[in-house]
Amino acid sequence: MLERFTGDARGVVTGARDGALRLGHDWIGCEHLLLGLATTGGEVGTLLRDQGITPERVGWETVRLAGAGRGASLSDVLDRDALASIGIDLDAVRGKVEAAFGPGSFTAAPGRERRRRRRVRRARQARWAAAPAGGGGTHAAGPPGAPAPGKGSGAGPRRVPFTPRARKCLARAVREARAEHTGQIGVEHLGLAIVSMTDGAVPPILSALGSSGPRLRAEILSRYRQAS
Amino acid sequence: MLTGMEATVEVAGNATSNDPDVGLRAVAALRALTEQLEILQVDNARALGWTWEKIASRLGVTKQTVHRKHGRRTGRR
Repeated sequence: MLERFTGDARGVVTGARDGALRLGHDWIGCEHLLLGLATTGGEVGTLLRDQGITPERVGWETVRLAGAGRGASLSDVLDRDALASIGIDLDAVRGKVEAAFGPGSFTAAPGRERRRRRRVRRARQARWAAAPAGGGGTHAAGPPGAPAPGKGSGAGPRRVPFTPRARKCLARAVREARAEHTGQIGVEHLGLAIVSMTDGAVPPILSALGSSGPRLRAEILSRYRQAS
Repeated sequence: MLTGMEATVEVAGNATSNDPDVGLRAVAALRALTEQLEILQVDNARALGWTWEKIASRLGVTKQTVHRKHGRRTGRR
């Protein structure tokens, strides 16, 4: 599906996957694509961040909607700005907790997030043909001598499925490119597809951050019309 | 555009404002933090052999409540 995506557009998808794993999620939804988009360099990413749609904030909103998955660092998933507003320094809390319970203890334990479970189930039904299941915690026994790509534990060979809606979003990016008679799907097309979602997690996240899909769509379009 | 640090300082500076957006986010974040700390502390107490009754009394809830909430996760009765 991603064959005709430019390198940068693929970078958004990679960022979405990394973001999902960082939040402890084992699916890639539109919210994670938005997270990847907010993380990406270049014009669309800058435009989003200028509107206050930063990776941090998208992550917090995503967690507010779907909960954090097991093992996510609480430093990543809790809204540190909001806590600071009532005088709570998240880093100080982290320090105390880790001093008492050891490094790595300041991570999310699975709460009772039914929404999250439902999403996971749905994603699995759609795309979990060959569940590895035998992971059993850390991938201690990697292939001997194989050069580990990228960063330590996060870069395992774990497969993270797209939700059906995220696949629709990717398909829409293809249509956005086709509408401009472009064979290559760039970040702008993926961005247009993501912000134009009318269902799923993207609209509530954008509105919680004081923005909206139509407005962002117009800005992306005007930015790229100017450029070309 | 504010950097992360400046944004934090700015929000912290608004602490006394009565903007519901700031206040409600703070409540939600605090609730999430409390939830996670509770899990951490209950698991630790169970690992140290505390009874549900003792844990519940410290949390100020009934034994049934704490067991229903945490019993499955810690996997023991």
